[in-house]
Amino acid sequence: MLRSMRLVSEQSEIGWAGAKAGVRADSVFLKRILSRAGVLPFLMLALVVVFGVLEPRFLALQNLRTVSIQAVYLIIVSVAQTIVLISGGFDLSVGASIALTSVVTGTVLVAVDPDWLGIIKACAAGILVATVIGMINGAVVSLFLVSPFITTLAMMSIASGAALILSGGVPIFNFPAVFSDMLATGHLFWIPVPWLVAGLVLLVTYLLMSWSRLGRYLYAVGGNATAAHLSGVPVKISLFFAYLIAGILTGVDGVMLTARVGSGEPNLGASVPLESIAAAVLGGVSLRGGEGNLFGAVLGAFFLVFLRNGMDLIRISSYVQMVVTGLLLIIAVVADRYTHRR
Amino acid sequence: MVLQPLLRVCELTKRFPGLVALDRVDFELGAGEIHAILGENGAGKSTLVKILAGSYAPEGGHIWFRGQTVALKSVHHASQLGIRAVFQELSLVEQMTVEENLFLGKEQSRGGFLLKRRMRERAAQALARVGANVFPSDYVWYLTAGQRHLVEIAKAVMDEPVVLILDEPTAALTSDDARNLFELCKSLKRRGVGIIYITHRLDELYSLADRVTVLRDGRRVVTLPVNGLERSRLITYMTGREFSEIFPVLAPPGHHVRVKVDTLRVPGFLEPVSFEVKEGEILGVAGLEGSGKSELARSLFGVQPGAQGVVYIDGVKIDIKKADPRLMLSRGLVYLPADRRGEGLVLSRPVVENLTLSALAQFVRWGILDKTTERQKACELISRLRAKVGNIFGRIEFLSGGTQQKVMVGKGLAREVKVFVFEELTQGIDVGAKVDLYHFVRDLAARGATVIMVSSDLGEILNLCHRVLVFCRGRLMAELTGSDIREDLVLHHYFGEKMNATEHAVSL
Repeated sequence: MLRSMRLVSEQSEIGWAGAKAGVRADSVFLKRILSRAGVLPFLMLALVVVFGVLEPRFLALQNLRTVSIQAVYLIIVSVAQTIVLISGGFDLSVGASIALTSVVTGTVLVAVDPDWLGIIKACAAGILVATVIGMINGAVVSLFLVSPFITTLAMMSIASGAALILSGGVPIFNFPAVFSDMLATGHLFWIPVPWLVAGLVLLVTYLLMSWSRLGRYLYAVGGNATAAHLSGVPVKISLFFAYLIAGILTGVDGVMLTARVGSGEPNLGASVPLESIAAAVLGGVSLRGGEGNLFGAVLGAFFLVFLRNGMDLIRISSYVQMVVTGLLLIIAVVADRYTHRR
Repeated sequence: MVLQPLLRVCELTKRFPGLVALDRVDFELGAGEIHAILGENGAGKSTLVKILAGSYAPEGGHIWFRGQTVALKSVHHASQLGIRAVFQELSLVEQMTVEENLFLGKEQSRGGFLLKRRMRERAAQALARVGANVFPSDYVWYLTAGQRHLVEIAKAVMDEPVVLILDEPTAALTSDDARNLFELCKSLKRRGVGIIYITHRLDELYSLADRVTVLRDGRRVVTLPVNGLERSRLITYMTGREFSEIFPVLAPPGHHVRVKVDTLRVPGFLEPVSFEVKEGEILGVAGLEGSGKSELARSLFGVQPGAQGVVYIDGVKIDIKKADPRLMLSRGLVYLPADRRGEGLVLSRPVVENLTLSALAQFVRWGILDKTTERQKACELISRLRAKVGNIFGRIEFLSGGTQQKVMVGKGLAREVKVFVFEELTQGIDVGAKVDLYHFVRDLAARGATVIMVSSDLGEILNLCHRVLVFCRGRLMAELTGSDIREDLVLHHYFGEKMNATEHAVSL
């Protein structure tokens, strides 16, 4: 009810502005859409049309299902990234953190008994190590108020190095088959486990960001840290929690990815920092903090994964795909700048 | 008196989202004329001069400069024509020296090498001309606000402009600096330069200006010669109301001492000060920039670095060194900063989130926000403040200054508060919103709240306070009560022991 009222008032505003500005009406309307949902709706449309025409398999149900499961891994980490972006920061260490999680999980997994308890221990160890990375990021950023860019860039190097040291630079094989069978290809109540995990992550983070005090504080801190401080918001603690939560989610993602590839990989997730930021920004999350929501980021992640799939299907090389991802990030950032110009 | 119009504008119009900043304004400036523009905050003064200086493009109207229509494309274009402006927001690069700033973008060089010595000499001349007591080699970050302003003026005058626009130039200046500036204006006037002088200090207007144009709510009210013009008429033109309508009659304060401040100090900014404020009392804190009044307000909220001392609220002792906004809010004291957009509001968030930000705890049930109650509270606050908010889920940055300010005040009301510390409560907002806020402050006090009004607005200090503390250079100069709260006394203490600007202005 309230929502519809809001829409009406906005439409009438558009009408007013259109009538007043004459030729500018189109650009005002465009800007409205852009500021609501970013460039994503336009890109999504283009994606479906282009690949749907070029390659009929792209829109086949089986393909859509497979790719939707693949998308889970980028979605979870994009959600982590979004929480940090909303708080006004960055997390460039997510990729390295995934690698270290993978190596730690793998190391524990081959050392313990191949039963439920052993798997739980391995998963817990992996998630714990990513959580610690998040805590360190959060502590450094909030206590010393240093640039999250540099802090997490440094952490990326530390975690990458640690993963290579721990694994000796080679993947850890010989996992018990049940690990991947359960977490990567398993089903619970006929639903793929990755979907369940993603659903749970989204539910919890949605409640956190939209219905809890901490979420509100993170938006406020990202939007204007001084104003938040003067309003009695515990700025440092809130920031710490943003990175901590991002760390936990990254750990979950790392464990899931490890199950998918079936080995402890010290080079896992190298492209994740860029892709997760791209997904969030494409989904309308502002790089200056305080704006955007999780679902935008989820859509952004879906878009990137489907784009990759489409390009795979029409045999565009992965080198070209890297170029395309970079270009998209630039487009998204420019659109962000254009829509939120102050 | 006016020989030939140097600059003339006709039906100038400028709109901002949700606001007509200038509505078909006419204006004229003669050669050798000092033309003052007078108006409340938000009347359109700054918009008008920003158009004349080329920083805004008008949506309607014409500009004639030396008899020819011009379309000012940019600040650069305007300054090429000889129109230079000095705004309140300065355009100096803090990390560079004064001389580097003076020649920024017009460095003198030969064969690709900078002529540093020649630039330094010319910089020194330009600084001497405006009476700025700074060295060309000083870094700008090292200068006081007043010195920076003089450097900015020197930068403008160095170009030998035909039209010079000064936007409240004396706001940050000491009385000596102000006197030098007046001399400069007069010498430029003798050389035929037209000066547009924005101020809201009536004394300056009477001592300097030939004519005055009064703006109100984006419209031109009147243009008159200054000679023989009565002050009360000017005030009525400015505000659109009789003086008595603007400020409400205050209720008498109570007897219970609500706030006791004991040797509060900020080394380097504020000397030790002790005072008490009663319930239902409105205490004015007056002073110029750098007087320590802002530091005092921020110390009370625990956000002033280096502040020391003790504050008692209803007898509960608080060590200022250990205070922070969370603690002070829980003790019932709220501070609303002067910089609304920079420190007060989260512009990217909706109105409702801003309103409840400091009181979120009361809306949480089982860890989940009760958004229905939150929305009801927000609506209640908005109607109580008579804020014109169409949609409480809309972003706050698109609201007018006055409405934004009301929302900020609403933030203070969202939780139990006994002591309000307002800094520049009515800066940059329209008269209507001002009057609403004045009545609101009066009602707060009448219901027993304690209000500390830190303000540069003399009208507020004189008419809305039971008692006034005047600060000068970090020291408490005077405490005025009742009939002693007079303009001349307050101004006298503004400038410390030195001769004050009013006396000086009269003697010229």
